[in-house]
Amino acid sequence: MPKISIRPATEADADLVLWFIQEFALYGNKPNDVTATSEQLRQALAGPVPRIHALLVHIKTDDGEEKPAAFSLYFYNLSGWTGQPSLYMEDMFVCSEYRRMGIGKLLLKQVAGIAVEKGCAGMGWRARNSNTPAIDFYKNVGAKEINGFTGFSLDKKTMQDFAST
Amino acid sequence: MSSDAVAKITEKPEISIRPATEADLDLILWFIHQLAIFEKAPDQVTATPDLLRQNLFGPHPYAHVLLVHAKTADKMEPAGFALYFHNFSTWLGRPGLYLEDLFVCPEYRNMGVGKLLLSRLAGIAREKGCGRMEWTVLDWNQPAIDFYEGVGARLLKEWIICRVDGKSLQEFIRM
Repeated sequence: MPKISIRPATEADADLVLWFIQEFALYGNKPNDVTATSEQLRQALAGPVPRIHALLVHIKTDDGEEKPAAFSLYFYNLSGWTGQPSLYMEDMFVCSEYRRMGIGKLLLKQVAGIAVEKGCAGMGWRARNSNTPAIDFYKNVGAKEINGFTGFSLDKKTMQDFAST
Repeated sequence: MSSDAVAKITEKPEISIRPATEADLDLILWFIHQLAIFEKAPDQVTATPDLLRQNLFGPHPYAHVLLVHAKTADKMEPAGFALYFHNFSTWLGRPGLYLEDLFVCPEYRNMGVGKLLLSRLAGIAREKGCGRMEWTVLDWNQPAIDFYEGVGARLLKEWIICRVDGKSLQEFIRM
Protein backbone atom coordinates (compact mmCIF):
# COMPACT_ATOMS: atom_id res chain seq x y z
CA MET A 1 0.00 0.00 0.00
CA PRO A 2 1.32 3.47 -0.79
CA LYS A 3 1.86 6.03 1.99
CA ILE A 4 -1.57 7.23 2.94
CA SER A 5 -3.06 9.62 5.46
CA ILE A 6 -6.61 9.52 6.81
CA ARG A 7 -8.08 12.49 8.58
CA PRO A 8 -11.51 13.86 9.50
CA ALA A 9 -12.87 16.53 7.16
CA THR A 10 -13.52 20.02 8.49
CA GLU A 11 -15.72 22.73 6.99
CA ALA A 12 -12.59 23.97 5.18
CA ASP A 13 -12.70 20.73 3.13
CA ALA A 14 -16.16 21.41 1.68
CA ASP A 15 -14.83 21.82 -1.88
CA LEU A 16 -12.93 18.53 -1.69
CA VAL A 17 -15.92 16.69 -0.22
CA LEU A 18 -18.08 18.02 -3.06
CA TRP A 19 -15.47 16.85 -5.57
CA PHE A 20 -15.55 13.33 -4.11
CA ILE A 21 -19.38 13.31 -4.21
CA GLN A 22 -19.25 14.33 -7.87
CA GLU A 23 -16.63 11.67 -8.67
CA PHE A 24 -18.83 9.09 -6.97
CA ALA A 25 -21.85 10.16 -9.01
CA LEU A 26 -19.76 9.99 -12.18
CA TYR A 27 -18.74 6.43 -11.27
CA GLY A 28 -22.43 5.56 -10.97
CA ASN A 29 -23.14 7.25 -14.35
CA LYS A 30 -25.28 9.91 -12.69
CA PRO A 31 -23.11 13.03 -12.89
CA ASN A 32 -26.06 15.38 -13.35
CA ASP A 33 -27.86 14.20 -10.23
CA VAL A 34 -25.58 16.13 -7.88
CA THR A 35 -27.05 19.55 -7.14
CA ALA A 36 -25.32 19.99 -3.77
CA THR A 37 -23.16 23.10 -3.37
CA SER A 38 -19.92 23.59 -1.49
CA GLU A 39 -21.68 26.04 0.85
CA GLN A 40 -24.36 23.48 1.76
CA LEU A 41 -21.66 20.95 2.59
CA ARG A 42 -19.66 23.52 4.54
CA GLN A 43 -22.70 24.24 6.71
CA ALA A 44 -23.37 20.54 7.20
CA LEU A 45 -19.75 19.94 8.28
CA ALA A 46 -19.64 22.96 10.58
CA GLY A 47 -20.55 23.56 14.18
CA PRO A 48 -20.31 21.67 17.47
CA VAL A 49 -22.79 19.00 16.29
CA PRO A 50 -22.23 18.70 12.53
CA ARG A 51 -24.94 17.06 10.42
CA ILE A 52 -22.32 15.08 8.56
CA HIS A 53 -18.85 13.74 9.22
CA ALA A 54 -16.31 12.62 6.64
CA LEU A 55 -12.96 10.88 6.56
CA LEU A 56 -10.56 11.91 3.81
CA VAL A 57 -7.81 9.66 2.47
CA HIS A 58 -4.80 11.15 0.72
CA ILE A 59 -1.92 9.39 -1.01
CA LYS A 60 1.56 10.80 -0.46
CA THR A 61 3.45 10.67 -3.76
CA ASP A 62 7.22 10.24 -4.04
CA ASP A 63 7.71 13.95 -4.52
CA GLY A 64 5.82 14.72 -1.32
CA GLU A 65 2.53 15.74 -2.94
CA GLU A 66 -0.78 14.75 -1.33
CA LYS A 67 -3.42 13.46 -3.74
CA PRO A 68 -7.04 12.85 -2.71
CA ALA A 69 -7.69 9.12 -2.96
CA ALA A 70 -10.87 8.20 -1.09
CA PHE A 71 -13.54 9.39 1.27
CA SER A 72 -16.31 8.18 3.50
CA LEU A 73 -19.20 10.37 4.63
CA TYR A 74 -21.38 9.34 7.56
CA PHE A 75 -23.71 10.51 10.30
CA TYR A 76 -25.42 9.15 13.38
CA ASN A 77 -28.99 8.12 13.91
CA LEU A 78 -30.87 5.91 16.37
CA SER A 79 -31.61 2.22 16.37
CA GLY A 80 -35.09 2.04 17.91
CA TRP A 81 -34.73 -1.59 18.93
CA THR A 82 -31.51 -1.04 20.89
CA GLY A 83 -32.11 2.57 21.96
CA GLN A 84 -28.47 3.22 21.05
CA PRO A 85 -27.02 5.42 18.34
CA SER A 86 -26.16 3.82 15.01
CA LEU A 87 -23.70 5.01 12.36
CA TYR A 88 -24.97 5.37 8.82
CA MET A 89 -22.42 5.60 6.05
CA GLU A 90 -24.00 7.66 3.27
CA ASP A 91 -21.08 7.57 0.85
CA MET A 92 -17.87 5.66 0.44
CA PHE A 93 -15.68 6.04 -2.64
CA VAL A 94 -12.14 5.17 -3.68
CA CYS A 95 -10.80 6.88 -6.81
CA SER A 96 -10.32 4.37 -9.62
CA GLU A 97 -6.53 4.78 -9.79
CA TYR A 98 -6.19 3.82 -6.12
CA ARG A 99 -8.41 0.75 -6.00
CA ARG A 100 -7.21 -2.74 -5.12
CA MET A 101 -4.61 -1.35 -2.72
CA GLY A 102 -6.47 -2.06 0.51
CA ILE A 103 -7.63 1.53 0.94
CA GLY A 104 -11.33 0.67 0.99
CA LYS A 105 -10.84 -1.91 3.71
CA LEU A 106 -8.74 0.48 5.80
CA LEU A 107 -11.32 3.23 5.45
CA LEU A 108 -14.19 0.93 6.41
CA LYS A 109 -12.25 -0.26 9.45
CA GLN A 110 -11.67 3.35 10.51
CA VAL A 111 -15.38 4.14 10.23
CA ALA A 112 -16.22 0.98 12.16
CA GLY A 113 -13.73 2.04 14.84
CA ILE A 114 -15.47 5.40 15.11
CA ALA A 115 -18.83 3.65 15.44
CA VAL A 116 -17.54 1.52 18.30
CA GLU A 117 -15.91 4.49 20.04
CA LYS A 118 -19.18 6.37 19.85
CA GLY A 119 -21.09 3.49 21.47
CA CYS A 120 -23.07 2.65 18.34
CA ALA A 121 -25.14 -0.52 18.17
CA GLY A 122 -24.07 -1.02 14.59
CA MET A 123 -23.35 0.61 11.28
CA GLY A 124 -25.37 0.53 8.10
CA TRP A 125 -25.16 1.65 4.52
CA ARG A 126 -26.58 0.64 1.17
CA ALA A 127 -25.24 -0.21 -2.25
CA ARG A 128 -26.84 -0.20 -5.65
CA ASN A 129 -27.62 -3.78 -6.55
CA SER A 130 -25.86 -3.22 -9.90
CA ASN A 131 -22.62 -2.28 -8.10
CA THR A 132 -21.14 -5.78 -8.06
CA PRO A 133 -17.56 -4.77 -7.15
CA ALA A 134 -18.83 -2.90 -4.07
CA ILE A 135 -21.17 -5.72 -3.03
CA ASP A 136 -18.39 -8.29 -3.40
CA PHE A 137 -16.07 -6.08 -1.36
CA TYR A 138 -18.62 -5.63 1.45
CA LYS A 139 -19.40 -9.35 1.57
CA ASN A 140 -15.70 -10.21 1.63
CA VAL A 141 -15.15 -8.04 4.67
CA GLY A 142 -18.04 -9.67 6.49
CA ALA A 143 -20.89 -7.22 6.12
CA LYS A 144 -24.37 -8.69 6.01
CA GLU A 145 -26.89 -7.98 3.30
CA ILE A 146 -30.25 -7.31 4.94
CA ASN A 147 -32.86 -9.16 2.93
CA GLY A 148 -36.54 -8.77 3.28
CA PHE A 149 -36.79 -4.99 3.20
CA THR A 150 -37.95 -2.66 0.46
CA GLY A 151 -36.92 0.98 0.45
CA PHE A 152 -39.37 3.83 -0.13
CA SER A 153 -38.82 7.46 -0.87
CA LEU A 154 -40.99 10.56 -1.13
CA ASP A 155 -39.27 13.23 -3.20
CA LYS A 156 -39.52 16.89 -2.24
CA LYS A 157 -42.52 17.79 -4.39
CA THR A 158 -44.58 14.71 -3.42
CA MET A 159 -43.63 15.30 0.21
CA GLN A 160 -44.70 18.95 0.08
CA ASP A 161 -47.97 18.06 -1.65
CA PHE A 162 -48.60 15.39 0.93
CA ALA A 163 -47.88 17.74 3.81
CA SER A 164 -50.57 20.04 2.47
CA THR A 165 -53.27 17.32 2.44
CA MET B 1 -53.18 -0.24 26.42
CA SER B 2 -54.80 -2.76 24.08
CA SER B 3 -55.23 -6.34 25.22
CA ASP B 4 -54.82 -9.46 23.06
CA ALA B 5 -58.45 -9.35 21.96
CA VAL B 6 -58.61 -6.38 19.59
CA ALA B 7 -61.44 -4.10 20.71
CA LYS B 8 -63.75 -3.02 17.95
CA ILE B 9 -63.84 0.76 17.78
CA THR B 10 -67.29 1.63 16.50
CA GLU B 11 -67.00 5.40 16.52
CA LYS B 12 -64.30 7.31 14.60
CA PRO B 13 -62.18 8.80 17.39
CA GLU B 14 -60.65 12.27 17.55
CA ILE B 15 -56.96 11.90 16.76
CA SER B 16 -54.21 14.03 18.26
CA ILE B 17 -50.53 13.94 17.33
CA ARG B 18 -47.81 15.49 19.46
CA PRO B 19 -44.06 15.26 19.93
CA ALA B 20 -43.08 12.84 22.70
CA THR B 21 -41.43 14.13 25.88
CA GLU B 22 -39.30 12.47 28.54
CA ALA B 23 -42.49 11.65 30.44
CA ASP B 24 -43.47 9.32 27.57
CA LEU B 25 -40.44 6.99 27.81
CA ASP B 26 -42.41 3.92 28.93
CA LEU B 27 -44.99 4.46 26.20
CA ILE B 28 -42.29 4.86 23.53
CA LEU B 29 -40.65 1.63 24.67
CA TRP B 30 -44.03 -0.12 24.63
CA PHE B 31 -44.60 1.00 21.02
CA ILE B 32 -41.10 -0.18 20.02
CA HIS B 33 -41.98 -3.59 21.49
CA GLN B 34 -45.34 -3.64 19.67
CA LEU B 35 -43.63 -2.95 16.36
CA ALA B 36 -41.02 -5.65 17.01
CA ILE B 37 -43.82 -8.15 17.79
CA PHE B 38 -45.58 -7.19 14.56
CA GLU B 39 -42.29 -7.65 12.66
CA LYS B 40 -41.96 -11.11 14.24
CA ALA B 41 -38.80 -10.17 16.11
CA PRO B 42 -39.87 -9.56 19.71
CA ASP B 43 -36.51 -10.69 21.17
CA GLN B 44 -34.57 -8.08 19.22
CA VAL B 45 -35.56 -5.20 21.49
CA THR B 46 -32.84 -4.42 24.02
CA ALA B 47 -33.65 -0.71 24.43
CA THR B 48 -34.21 0.52 27.99
CA PRO B 49 -35.91 3.68 29.27
CA ASP B 50 -32.49 5.02 30.31
CA LEU B 51 -30.98 4.55 26.84
CA LEU B 52 -34.00 6.16 25.23
CA ARG B 53 -33.87 9.06 27.71
CA GLN B 54 -30.20 9.65 26.92
CA ASN B 55 -30.52 9.33 23.15
CA LEU B 56 -33.92 10.90 22.52
CA PHE B 57 -33.99 13.61 25.17
CA GLY B 58 -30.34 14.25 25.98
CA PRO B 59 -28.32 17.31 24.89
CA HIS B 60 -27.95 15.90 21.34
CA PRO B 61 -31.01 13.81 20.44
CA TYR B 62 -30.32 11.18 17.79
CA ALA B 63 -33.99 10.82 16.89
CA HIS B 64 -37.46 12.23 17.57
CA VAL B 65 -40.81 10.62 18.32
CA LEU B 66 -44.37 11.60 17.47
CA LEU B 67 -47.17 10.05 19.51
CA VAL B 68 -50.73 9.54 18.33
CA HIS B 69 -53.61 9.41 20.79
CA ALA B 70 -57.25 8.68 20.10
CA LYS B 71 -59.93 10.41 22.13
CA THR B 72 -62.98 8.20 22.59
CA ALA B 73 -65.67 9.29 25.02
CA ASP B 74 -63.62 10.52 27.97
CA LYS B 75 -60.35 8.61 27.44
CA MET B 76 -57.12 9.35 25.55
CA GLU B 77 -55.75 6.05 24.30
CA PRO B 78 -52.32 5.57 22.67
CA ALA B 79 -53.00 4.79 19.01
CA GLY B 80 -49.67 4.97 17.21
CA PHE B 81 -46.19 6.40 17.00
CA ALA B 82 -43.43 7.37 14.62
CA LEU B 83 -39.72 7.49 15.38
CA TYR B 84 -37.68 9.50 12.89
CA PHE B 85 -34.37 11.28 12.45
CA HIS B 86 -32.64 13.44 9.93
CA ASN B 87 -30.15 12.04 7.49
CA PHE B 88 -28.29 13.93 4.77
CA SER B 89 -28.37 13.63 1.01
CA THR B 90 -24.94 14.44 -0.36
CA TRP B 91 -26.38 14.68 -3.85
CA LEU B 92 -29.03 17.22 -2.86
CA GLY B 93 -26.84 18.90 -0.24
CA ARG B 94 -29.84 18.88 2.08
CA PRO B 95 -31.03 17.00 5.13
CA GLY B 96 -33.66 14.31 4.63
CA LEU B 97 -36.19 12.82 7.03
CA TYR B 98 -35.75 9.11 7.67
CA LEU B 99 -38.70 7.31 9.17
CA GLU B 100 -37.22 4.54 11.30
CA ASP B 101 -40.42 3.24 12.93
CA LEU B 102 -44.10 3.75 12.22
CA PHE B 103 -46.78 1.77 14.01
CA VAL B 104 -50.54 2.09 14.38
CA CYS B 105 -52.32 -0.06 16.98
CA PRO B 106 -54.53 -2.70 15.28
CA GLU B 107 -57.77 -1.28 16.68
CA TYR B 108 -57.03 2.10 15.09
CA ARG B 109 -56.05 0.90 11.63
CA ASN B 110 -57.99 1.77 8.48
CA MET B 111 -59.10 5.06 10.02
CA GLY B 112 -56.59 7.34 8.32
CA VAL B 113 -54.22 7.44 11.31
CA GLY B 114 -51.22 6.29 9.26
CA LYS B 115 -51.91 8.88 6.59
CA LEU B 116 -52.27 11.63 9.20
CA LEU B 117 -48.99 10.64 10.80
CA LEU B 118 -47.18 10.53 7.47
CA SER B 119 -48.63 13.89 6.54
CA ARG B 120 -47.44 15.38 9.84
CA LEU B 121 -43.97 13.97 9.20
CA ALA B 122 -43.97 15.39 5.68
CA GLY B 123 -44.82 18.76 7.23
CA ILE B 124 -41.87 18.49 9.61
CA ALA B 125 -39.62 17.52 6.72
CA ARG B 126 -40.79 20.53 4.73
CA GLU B 127 -40.31 22.88 7.71
CA LYS B 128 -36.73 21.62 8.18
CA GLY B 129 -35.86 22.13 4.50
CA CYS B 130 -35.56 18.42 3.82
CA GLY B 131 -35.04 17.22 0.28
CA ARG B 132 -36.86 13.90 0.78
CA MET B 133 -38.35 11.39 3.17
CA GLU B 134 -37.25 7.76 3.22
CA TRP B 135 -38.01 4.53 5.03
CA THR B 136 -37.98 0.79 4.53
CA VAL B 137 -40.73 -1.77 4.81
CA LEU B 138 -40.62 -5.51 5.30
CA ASP B 139 -41.33 -7.00 1.93
CA TRP B 140 -44.07 -9.29 3.29
CA ASN B 141 -45.94 -6.28 4.74
CA GLN B 142 -48.25 -5.89 1.76
CA PRO B 143 -50.83 -3.62 3.49
CA ALA B 144 -48.03 -1.17 4.31
CA ILE B 145 -46.57 -1.38 0.78
CA ASP B 146 -50.02 -0.72 -0.71
CA PHE B 147 -50.55 2.21 1.65
CA TYR B 148 -47.20 3.82 0.83
CA GLU B 149 -47.63 3.37 -2.91
CA GLY B 150 -51.10 4.82 -2.54
CA VAL B 151 -49.73 8.07 -1.07
CA GLY B 152 -47.25 8.49 -3.91
CA ALA B 153 -44.09 7.04 -2.40
CA ARG B 154 -41.60 5.55 -4.83
CA LEU B 155 -40.36 2.01 -4.32
CA LEU B 156 -36.55 1.93 -4.45
CA LYS B 157 -35.78 -1.34 -6.15
CA GLU B 158 -32.19 -0.66 -7.02
CA TRP B 159 -30.62 -0.71 -3.54
CA ILE B 160 -29.51 -3.39 -1.15
CA ILE B 161 -29.14 -2.65 2.55
CA CYS B 162 -25.93 -3.58 4.34
CA ARG B 163 -25.35 -3.80 8.03
CA VAL B 164 -22.78 -4.77 10.65
CA ASP B 165 -24.11 -5.07 14.21
CA GLY B 166 -22.99 -5.59 17.76
CA LYS B 167 -20.26 -8.19 18.13
CA SER B 168 -19.68 -8.28 14.35
CA LEU B 169 -18.86 -4.56 14.51
CA GLN B 170 -16.03 -5.27 16.95
CA GLU B 171 -14.74 -8.03 14.68
CA PHE B 172 -15.04 -5.75 11.67
CA ILE B 173 -12.39 -3.48 13.16
CA ARG B 174 -10.01 -6.41 13.42
CA MET B 175 -10.52 -7.69 9.87
